[in-house]
Amino acid sequence: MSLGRPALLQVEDLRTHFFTEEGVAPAVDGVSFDLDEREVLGLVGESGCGKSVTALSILRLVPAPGRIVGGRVVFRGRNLLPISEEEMRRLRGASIAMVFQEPSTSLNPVLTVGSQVAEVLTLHRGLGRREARREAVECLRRVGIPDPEGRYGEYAHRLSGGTKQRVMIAMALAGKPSLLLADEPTTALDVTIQAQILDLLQRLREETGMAILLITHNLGVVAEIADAVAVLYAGKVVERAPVRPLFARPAHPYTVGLFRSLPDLGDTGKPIVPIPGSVPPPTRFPTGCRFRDRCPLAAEVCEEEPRLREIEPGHLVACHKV
Amino acid sequence: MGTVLRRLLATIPLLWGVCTLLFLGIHLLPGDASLYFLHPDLPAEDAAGVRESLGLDRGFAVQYGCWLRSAALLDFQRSLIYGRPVAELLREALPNTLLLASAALLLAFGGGIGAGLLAARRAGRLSDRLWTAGSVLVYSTPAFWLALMLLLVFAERLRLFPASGLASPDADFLPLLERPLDRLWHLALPAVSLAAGLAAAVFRFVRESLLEALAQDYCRTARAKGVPEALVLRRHALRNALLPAIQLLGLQLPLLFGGSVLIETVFGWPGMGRLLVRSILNQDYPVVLGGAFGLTICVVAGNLLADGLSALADPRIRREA
Amino acid sequence: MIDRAGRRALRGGLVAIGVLAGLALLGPALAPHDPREHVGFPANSLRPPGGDFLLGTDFYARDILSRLLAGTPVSLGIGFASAALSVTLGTLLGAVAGYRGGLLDAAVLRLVDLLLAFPRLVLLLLLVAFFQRSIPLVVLVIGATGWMATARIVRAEVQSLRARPFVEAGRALGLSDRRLLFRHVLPNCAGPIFVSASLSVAAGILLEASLSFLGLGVPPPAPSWGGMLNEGRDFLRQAPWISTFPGLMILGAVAAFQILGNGMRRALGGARRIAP
Repeated sequence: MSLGRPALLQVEDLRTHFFTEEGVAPAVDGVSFDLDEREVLGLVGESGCGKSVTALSILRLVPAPGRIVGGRVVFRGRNLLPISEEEMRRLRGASIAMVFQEPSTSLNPVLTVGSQVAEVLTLHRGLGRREARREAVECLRRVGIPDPEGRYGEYAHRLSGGTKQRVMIAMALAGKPSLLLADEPTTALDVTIQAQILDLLQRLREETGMAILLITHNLGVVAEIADAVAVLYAGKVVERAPVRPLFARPAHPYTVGLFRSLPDLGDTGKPIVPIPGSVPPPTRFPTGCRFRDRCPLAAEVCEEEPRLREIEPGHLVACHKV
Repeated sequence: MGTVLRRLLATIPLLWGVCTLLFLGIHLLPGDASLYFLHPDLPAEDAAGVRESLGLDRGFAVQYGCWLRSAALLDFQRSLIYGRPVAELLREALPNTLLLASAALLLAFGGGIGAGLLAARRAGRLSDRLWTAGSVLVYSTPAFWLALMLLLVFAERLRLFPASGLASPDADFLPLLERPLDRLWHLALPAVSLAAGLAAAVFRFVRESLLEALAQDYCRTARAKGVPEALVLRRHALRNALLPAIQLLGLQLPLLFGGSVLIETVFGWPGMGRLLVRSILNQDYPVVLGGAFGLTICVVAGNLLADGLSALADPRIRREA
Repeated sequence: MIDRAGRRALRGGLVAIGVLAGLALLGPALAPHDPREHVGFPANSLRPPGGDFLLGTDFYARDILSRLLAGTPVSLGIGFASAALSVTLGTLLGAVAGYRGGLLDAAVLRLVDLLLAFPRLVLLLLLVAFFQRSIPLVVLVIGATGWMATARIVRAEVQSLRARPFVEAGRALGLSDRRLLFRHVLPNCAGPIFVSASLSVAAGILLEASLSFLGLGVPPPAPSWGGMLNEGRDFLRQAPWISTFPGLMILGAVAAFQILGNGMRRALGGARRIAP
């Protein structure tokens, strides 16, 4: 949380709904958080809780039948939601960049990886073809790809998962963004490669001072590099705190449940307690607190929707029973 | 290389099938089989030569063997109607069919891809739906009827294009630069007639391919990079959508050459299709065999071309080839 | 879940086909003139559309409209009959190939690829070249050269169904292969088979018209749309209606079955890729 200076990114009460044949799915329903420069915010939750949609909403790339229906996304003091598509396009890839989960399908199979990096350079930094190529090779080198010159002309299907993800990161960084949205950047990779990619992101954050919104369902990843965490459930933020307080004193029953459902390598005797039930389908979220059907602390008061309350400095929870 | 070899090898049973079909057919006809191979005015020694090489005086099995052998050697004897060697007739007709087919292919794919791009941009809107509905109609239109209608309107009524033939009768007297233009002028209506149905098929296919590509992850990445939508369509989606379109080419080739038979007939275009139809109507079987062979080779050559294009366009295939 | 466009296509196709069927059955009775009659020849030769002759007359003073109506059962009938033949052949071959697998399957596949690589019209011409022209011949050759598409589709369906548990269960119960295939597996393929059938009818109508146009199809004096188109060629300049209207009929009939087939395909779920 910033001291005095306004945050780089302020998401206020963002609502993105999907209008499907089966009904309206409020995938993101009142999400708010701040992100400062140089800060890494982990957006945590199970699949289907709205994390990816939040990131796509920031870039205004929500696919049909989804639509942003409310809230503000303030980037460097400017609300991005009402600006024109052309202005938004200029921000994408240049000021705000995104890395996706599946590097295999997120790279164009018929274009060389190098040219896909160079595309950002010609588009946003106005570089000529030869300059862009040289700079693209540099970008590949900076993300730790060996023999970047040789790799420039390769096609995606010839590269390993880790290398492909590095290419994606290179593409994202080529425009020198101040904000990086990373949607499960390590989920599709092997554990050892995961660690390398996280190290890379750390290093790049140090070097460039950019902020990262890290979307993941993996608390271990969060523990590694996040400064702050926001926990999402069914389209709403249920808990938000700096990383240490969250891990030390998780407050919301859902967060507690998440921690309890993880194996503890230090204490192999500890039982793994899964959260009962499963995430309700977005078209049929319960009224009031959306977690109450699965919550051990559920009571009558939970029929009313809880609001985020601060329980200790910087630590907010949306629960009546805490 | 492997696919090329496989294709060439696959042609052999095809050609063998055609030969056998014709052999059996001829022998089903009333009268002596030799009637259908010997030109009435052929001098005696030549006639004897033909009898010898086709084994016409020997048993069924021997005749079959001789038949296959002469086909393998591409020795189709002489036309019964024209008296000229079949090979000569084929050599004259083949380039004309190839010219027509190539022109039609270019028109069909150029038009189909262009229209597909436009439709994909306006997907779901009224103009797109009209185009799609229209394409079904064009696809269902008999090509020979379209040819007649085009003839009627553009050649007879408006007198904008010639009604038939490869070139004007006085083409040889035209200045050098005008001669190819004269050829193109004669090629226009036949090529359009032949291309129309194929263009409609290509259009529908490319449009669907593009829409599918636009929904893929890599297009999402491109948009996240700030690539303008028009460029996403042209540079990212189109390249991927064209790959299956090349396969479509291969599959449509038989239809294309079948259609050329009809179009050549309507416009009096001196190609192999017209040659084949005439020779069937005239019971000129040596030419029938030669013509069937020629068309088969055209189709195979076209398929090889499509394979080559596929390898060129798709880096994933290129490595394997 | 049939999407809107698919539903529209189904409805449109069925309506059009209903109209065609009606024309085929009642048309000849509704014809204002006898299609073979030379009505007041030579005075009424080559009359333009209007008055007594709604669509004009041809050189022999025959009423075009009546001939068109008389030709409807011929062209549609050939389309249907040939489609029935090719779909039956294709289903049988495809089913057995898909079910048995092994050498038989490989052989059928090879044969399919081979035949599909050859222009069907040329094959038809070669087959027709040696026999007396007749309607049964046309039905036979068109039907015999069109089984490949259906075979491919049925083979794929049967293959995937064969792997399903209910087949294993049937086997365990002692059901014979033949019974399993025909009573249990094939009925599940009904959808794609119908799609193929509709498209085959469209192709059959078009091919019959092509053959008749070249003079190698339905023998005169039996009326056929393609044949009429051919007759009109010589009079294109003076009497374009002779060729124009039959062509429109062909277009309409082919389009109707195409639309129906496409609609059915969408109804079955998901547009499939290149259909051979």
